[in-house]
Amino acid sequence: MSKVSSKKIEAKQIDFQSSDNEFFNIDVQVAKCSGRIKTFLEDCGMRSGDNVIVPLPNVNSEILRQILNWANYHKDDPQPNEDDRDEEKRTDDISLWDAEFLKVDQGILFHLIMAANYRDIKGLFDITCQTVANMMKGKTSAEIRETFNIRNDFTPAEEEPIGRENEWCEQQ
Amino acid sequence: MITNNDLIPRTTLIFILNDDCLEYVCKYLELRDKIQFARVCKRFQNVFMMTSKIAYKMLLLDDMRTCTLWQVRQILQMIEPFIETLNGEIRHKQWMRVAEFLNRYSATRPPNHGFAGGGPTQCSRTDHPDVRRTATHRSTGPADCAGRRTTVRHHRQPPRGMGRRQDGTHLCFEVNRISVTNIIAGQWVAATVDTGATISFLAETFVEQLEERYKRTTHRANIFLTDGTPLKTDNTFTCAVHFEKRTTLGSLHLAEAPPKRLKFTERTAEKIRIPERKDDLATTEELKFTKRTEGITTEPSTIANTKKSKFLRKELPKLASLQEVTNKRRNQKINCEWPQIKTAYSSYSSPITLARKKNGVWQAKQPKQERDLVHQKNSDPRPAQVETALKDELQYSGNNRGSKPMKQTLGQNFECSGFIPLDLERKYQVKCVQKVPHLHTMIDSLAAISAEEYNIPLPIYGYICGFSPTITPGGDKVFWNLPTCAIPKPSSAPGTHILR
Repeated sequence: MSKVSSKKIEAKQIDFQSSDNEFFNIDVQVAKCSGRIKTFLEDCGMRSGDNVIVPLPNVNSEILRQILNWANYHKDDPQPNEDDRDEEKRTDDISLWDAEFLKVDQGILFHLIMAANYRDIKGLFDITCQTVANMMKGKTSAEIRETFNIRNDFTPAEEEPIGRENEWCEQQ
Repeated sequence: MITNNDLIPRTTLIFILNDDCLEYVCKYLELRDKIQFARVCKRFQNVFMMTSKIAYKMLLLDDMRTCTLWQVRQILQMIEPFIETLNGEIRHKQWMRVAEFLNRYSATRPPNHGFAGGGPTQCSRTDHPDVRRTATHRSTGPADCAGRRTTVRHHRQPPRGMGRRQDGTHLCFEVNRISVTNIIAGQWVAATVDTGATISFLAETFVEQLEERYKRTTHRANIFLTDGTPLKTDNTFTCAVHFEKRTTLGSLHLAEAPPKRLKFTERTAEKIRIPERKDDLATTEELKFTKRTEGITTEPSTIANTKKSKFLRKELPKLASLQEVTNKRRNQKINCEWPQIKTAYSSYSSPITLARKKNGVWQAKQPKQERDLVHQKNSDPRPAQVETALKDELQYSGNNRGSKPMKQTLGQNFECSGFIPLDLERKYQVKCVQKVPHLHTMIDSLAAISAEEYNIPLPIYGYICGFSPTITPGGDKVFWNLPTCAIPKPSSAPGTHILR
């Protein structure tokens, strides 16, 4: 197992350890995009020169690299307020860079969501969920199933009465 | 090339997301997309239900504007247990259907009252009168529907009092609104459409119609005082008409009795010429007969010279006998001046008399006074007094009428024969009133002639209800010529006929 303990840790640097034991040395300012890590660092009272390794057992190196890439790009963005989360959700305010960034496989996208949720990275969590919502918008339930490879587990008895009732309900 | 990995069924990657993540995704969807989301699979449906618990305590009706009726129904079916308030306007083409759905689906007990599938009851109260779902809908369709409001309210018990229908739908006409009460999830729910028509407006409109009808049938009114004597003619009196808790006065004018009515037995007898000479023929039939036999005599020499002598020889006895009959009838008609005109005593007869012109020709004619009273439409025999106010004005007082709160009254009925149009239309459809018709529930005096007590033809019943005792200017209380079953009988049960 490789370690970086011998390495002189510069001030305001922190190491992330992924689930596959890969270490990522990043700036603390970047790391603080995660609300949970920010709280962790504040609670632990990390001082300059401390050798801090933060294990991330639920995040593999590939996902962690993506997250750090995103965090590095958005490190200067203002932190979103709590009140903003209660506002009406919009799915059309994803920046061009973010849209390009999220052009990934569904697996990576969902792992990014999970990681952002687990690490409380609000900005990343928002745009990833928006992306998934955009993939569902305007589609029928069958199309959504096809998009996400979901099996229809409704029984015919649960579905048919809805479908065969009045046809005039389809009028708008 | 197919690998082993290809043979492994693809996993549903989205299911690695926990419910929090799926809820967050769901929040980004519009309402109609949420319905599709909820129909994907059971897990998504549960997630949608979880978000709805908080998100749709107050349902904004504008959100359903772009939804199909099917989607509206789906939405309401899924989230109806969580809705506490409806807000906004129904901007939907099928707004009536949407309102119907709102009534049907969005009217269950609040979540803290232990709805089906919910937790234990958290509130000890059995009723929540303060839980009020109010929705204002504006139609995108006909203009006459615009601006009406619908209100959905909770009731543990159906609303009491007048206006409740007895057949289960509980259609109710009330001040400014029409409402329907029904049981949904064991709870009485009333959906109300605001008609914008005040009771005073309804009452005054009804009285106007009554007056118009009465102008045409005044000679059939047969109004009597309570002691049995007929009311003097040329008497104008007011008659109070009640709608719910308001009363308004209708002015009725009792015209003079029409002249003796005559009835023609011949359809073509519009103009009748009195035969002044004995050789004139009275009927068309006889005139034709005369034309056929013109130039034919009974003398044998003349008959022999005609080409039809053989025929006439055979028919001559018949002709002779016919001529005798004709002469006999002619003499009878001359002796009796108007054998074909008889006096009619039926109230349905036409009030037409015969008038003689200067040239001696008789002509059917209607007296001018009666024509004005009976047949001239929209003409009041009395001069107009005041301009009529705008009808959309609340409690307007056009024609010095207006309305005022109703006081204690007795039921008042009319005679059935005064309702000829109704009688003729439904002569063979006479049926006893079994239930209080919804239209009549707004008329307060119905209770005096309760359908369950009396058998009154429905059209007459619908017309006569709503009248109070009529007091003439001389202070006499007037009862009209009523069906006996509809007349209150103080002697049989004193005090039981008082409405309120």
